[in-house]
Amino acid sequence: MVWVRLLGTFILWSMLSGAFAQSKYTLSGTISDVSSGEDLTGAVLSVQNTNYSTICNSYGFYSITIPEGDYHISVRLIGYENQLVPVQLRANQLINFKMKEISYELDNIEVRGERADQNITSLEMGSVKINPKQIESIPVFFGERDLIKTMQLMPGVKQAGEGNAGFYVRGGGLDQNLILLDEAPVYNASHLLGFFSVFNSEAIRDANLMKGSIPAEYGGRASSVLDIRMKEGNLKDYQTTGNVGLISSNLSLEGPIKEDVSSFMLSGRRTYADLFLQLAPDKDLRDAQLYFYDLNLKTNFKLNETNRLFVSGYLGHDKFRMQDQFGFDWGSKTATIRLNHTFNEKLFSNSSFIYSDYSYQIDIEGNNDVILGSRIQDFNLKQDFSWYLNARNTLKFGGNLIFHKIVPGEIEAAPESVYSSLAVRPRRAFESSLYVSNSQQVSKRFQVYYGLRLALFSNVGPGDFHQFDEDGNWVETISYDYFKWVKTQGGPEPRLALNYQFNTQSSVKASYNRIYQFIHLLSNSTSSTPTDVWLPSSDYVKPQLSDQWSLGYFRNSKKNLIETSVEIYYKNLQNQIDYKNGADLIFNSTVEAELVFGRGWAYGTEFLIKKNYGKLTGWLGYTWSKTMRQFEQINEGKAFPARQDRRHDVSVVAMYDLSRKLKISAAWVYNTGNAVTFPNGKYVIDGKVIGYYTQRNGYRMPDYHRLDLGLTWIRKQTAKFESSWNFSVYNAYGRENAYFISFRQSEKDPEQTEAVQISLFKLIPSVSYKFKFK
Amino acid sequence: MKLKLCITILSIAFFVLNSCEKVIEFDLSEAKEALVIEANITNNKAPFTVLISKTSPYFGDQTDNQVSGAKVSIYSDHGTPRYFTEVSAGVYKLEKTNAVDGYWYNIDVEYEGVTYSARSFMNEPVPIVDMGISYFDGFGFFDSGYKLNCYIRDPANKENFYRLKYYVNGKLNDSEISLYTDKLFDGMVIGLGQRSMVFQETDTLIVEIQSIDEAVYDYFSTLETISGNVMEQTASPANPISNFNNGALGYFSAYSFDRRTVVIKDFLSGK
Repeated sequence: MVWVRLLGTFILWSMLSGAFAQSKYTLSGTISDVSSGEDLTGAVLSVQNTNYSTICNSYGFYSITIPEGDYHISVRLIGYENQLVPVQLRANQLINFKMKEISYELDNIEVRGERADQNITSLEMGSVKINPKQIESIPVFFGERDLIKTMQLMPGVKQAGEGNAGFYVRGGGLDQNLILLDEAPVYNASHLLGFFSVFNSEAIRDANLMKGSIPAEYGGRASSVLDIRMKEGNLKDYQTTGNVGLISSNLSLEGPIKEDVSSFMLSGRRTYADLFLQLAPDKDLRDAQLYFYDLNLKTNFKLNETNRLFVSGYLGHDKFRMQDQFGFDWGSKTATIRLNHTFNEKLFSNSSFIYSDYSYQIDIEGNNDVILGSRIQDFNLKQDFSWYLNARNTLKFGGNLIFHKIVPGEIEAAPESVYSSLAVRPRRAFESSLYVSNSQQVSKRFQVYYGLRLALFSNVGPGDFHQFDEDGNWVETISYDYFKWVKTQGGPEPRLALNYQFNTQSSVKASYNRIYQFIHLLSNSTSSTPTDVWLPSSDYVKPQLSDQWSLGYFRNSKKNLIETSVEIYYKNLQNQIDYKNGADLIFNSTVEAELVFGRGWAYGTEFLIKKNYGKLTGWLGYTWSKTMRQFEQINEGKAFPARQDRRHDVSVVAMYDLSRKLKISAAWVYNTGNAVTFPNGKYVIDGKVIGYYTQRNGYRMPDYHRLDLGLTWIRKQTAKFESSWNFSVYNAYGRENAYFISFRQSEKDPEQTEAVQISLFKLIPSVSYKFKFK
Repeated sequence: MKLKLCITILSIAFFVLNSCEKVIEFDLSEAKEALVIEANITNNKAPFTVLISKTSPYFGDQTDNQVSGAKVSIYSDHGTPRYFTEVSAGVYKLEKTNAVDGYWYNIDVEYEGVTYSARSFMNEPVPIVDMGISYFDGFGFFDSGYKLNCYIRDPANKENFYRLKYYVNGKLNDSEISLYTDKLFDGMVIGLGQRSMVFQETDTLIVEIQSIDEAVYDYFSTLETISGNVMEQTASPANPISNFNNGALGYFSAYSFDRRTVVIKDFLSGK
């Protein structure tokens, strides 16, 4: 509780520091795109020849309080032309800025004026921002542009496997990333066994991955936050965009419902992976169905000067069907309704209702009719306030309340089926939080962010709550009725960030954050499967808890043309989950008994050099890291490397504009192998050779490397129509990277044993065509 | 389980055209040798058999690892120990003995000064009450052929565990480990079938249904996660859960069983 007191003191202090100043006025408003009318996120507004500056929030709102006087206000954002506006500030004033997108003309592409030096001045660290426009010419996998795949090329973010859209952040687990689509958590962010992410990049405005320094308004996952915002829809003109690719196509429509008042964006995508099966040698495979689709929809209405309403939704579905034998369906749904309200020039509010749903279902037909499934649903109320107190302080506070309903497993059998119906009773819980934070400009060079989030988790009835002894043996089951509160746990989560600027070109930053995670993904397979089961915390399953400390040095050179940074981090993870040998995770009502609990820690350093402008853009990243886990019941209690542990990670991404019409790109990745468990000996049981295992993750997979190439050819670019072709080659030099290695008896000589490497995706060319009508 | 099967098929469907496989050289370090005991006793007149060996380096020759000179004894909870004789290197037998269901049996293996012990409960035999046959068209990597459904009447109000073994034309088919629990079917008539195994019209089968105890079920189900199809394998393989103490690998199973012989051709013609 020391933190609470400390925070109170800070807030009081920050309020006082503004109270005795000279007469000050507030400048506030929104920042939007002039051609589409869409709000822009992350624009930096600064007052020339002073030290005052602010960043607009994710709803495009800004507010800044400065002394009375005559100023020039500059507004900057990557990809947009700078604005310089004279202001005579004699009273509180409302100014809405309209930013114009830079049209890349070859002859003056180098002269883009001053680029935002946000990476130096902001308190953010360990953050990766991606705007789909910036990565348009990057090489792609199977013709699909994918935000998450691009993110995996940044330091500190590791891909979960060849071609996989799952990712590990700074030694955290796959389930420790909070993935938000318009504020709604996405429980399974991948399609088609993980080879594609659910995010259709045509529908996405921007994405921000927070690896460290996670602000107090976010919580619930131990390692990172990926905050993705959908496009809002052009408020002025209609626009149709389409992509036709080898295995998928998408089509997006956007435009005003009423000009400058309301707009919509609708985007759909479908794969035809089935077509691949046509090449299969087997007739039954040729007849199978295998595809996914997703739909994104967003609308917004300016109700009046101070109120704006947004409604957005996502629907994604994967389908796999084998004639009449069986079907396997899974997918996510999310919906967000939110209201932005501006109370006055200093106080901004966002209220949201959020729904999120993930489920899968398997039906087996024939004489054994049976349907199996599992589901997680969230109903979430969220309230956030931004209070631009004075020039030196920006307070944020709010809270949210999530109701989780988890159906771990259900079997519905036809009367004549040999299976009997079974339902593992749904588990229900409330996850609630309250937070307050302040960003404070302490002196010209020193900024500090301090915040506190109180996170609580309560299991509620109706439901069965199981008691286990210390060894995980089931003791008893207690049934609770409606509205009965069973167990509440959680606690305060302090968040702290510091920034000291040596000069305009360099700064040092530090941060600390603590986060609780109350729901846990149970999965123990080699490949990502749709049969994810989420388990809420309970008496026996304690919330995961992470503490992360990080330190970074940021330096820009050549007028912010080149950004460089070095960050180091240490992360401590408590109450980590692993599985007993042979754990049965599916359709098990006392699945807790299959788990073991331990701790983890990770540390590492990340280097990044990035060039954002000019004919040549791209980055070079390098990560050195170590990720360990320790469980009493595993590996004789000795610490062992986590599966995602790998020492070195290198990525190089380069995009080069050959001409106005031709862009080439290349990405090269190299990493040393992940930790893996292999046998140390063998023996015979029942006449079969069995591997003998003595250490968990005691071996390393071979080094992985791969080069991807891309070429974008802009065919037409007029005021009404644009079209372009993209050609990509994945794994251009055909490296056979190990996807997994299995140890087995030789088929030729059963007396011998051998190691067999299985590789995927050796040289995959793809082509896609993009068009846009305006 | 069917669910696993679905995932496997789905994985295969995607990988079929995109994967390539090759044998590689890989250096594995050598672990300290461990004792491996495979002990089976039954309610039948067949001799009790215990096989004892040691682990060997993974890429070494697997012969000559039998363990001779161990002292093997068995006793029921209130009985006196009876000793096994080593009939050939690593093979220990006890003849003319009969175990009875409904009792706990204990085994001790004494070797180089260490005693490795395990216990197993012999459940009542559960006979096959009916059999059915169906033709499976096959798909993907799954072969076409005949599937055999064996029906049993599960004893009610108690947990039962079964293992099925198939001898095809006199040879044990070990392509899959067939294990079943009555977790979802207590007291019902249960049909037990094969996952990927199929039989041909000319085959003569001996089906053996073993009524095993929970520890043996756990052993074989954890064995399956490291010996089955690669796609079904667990991400963190570990040694199967043995009922032996002191770090011995393997298992001790006291099981009762029923056996049926089926000639597919005869079955089809209604004999």
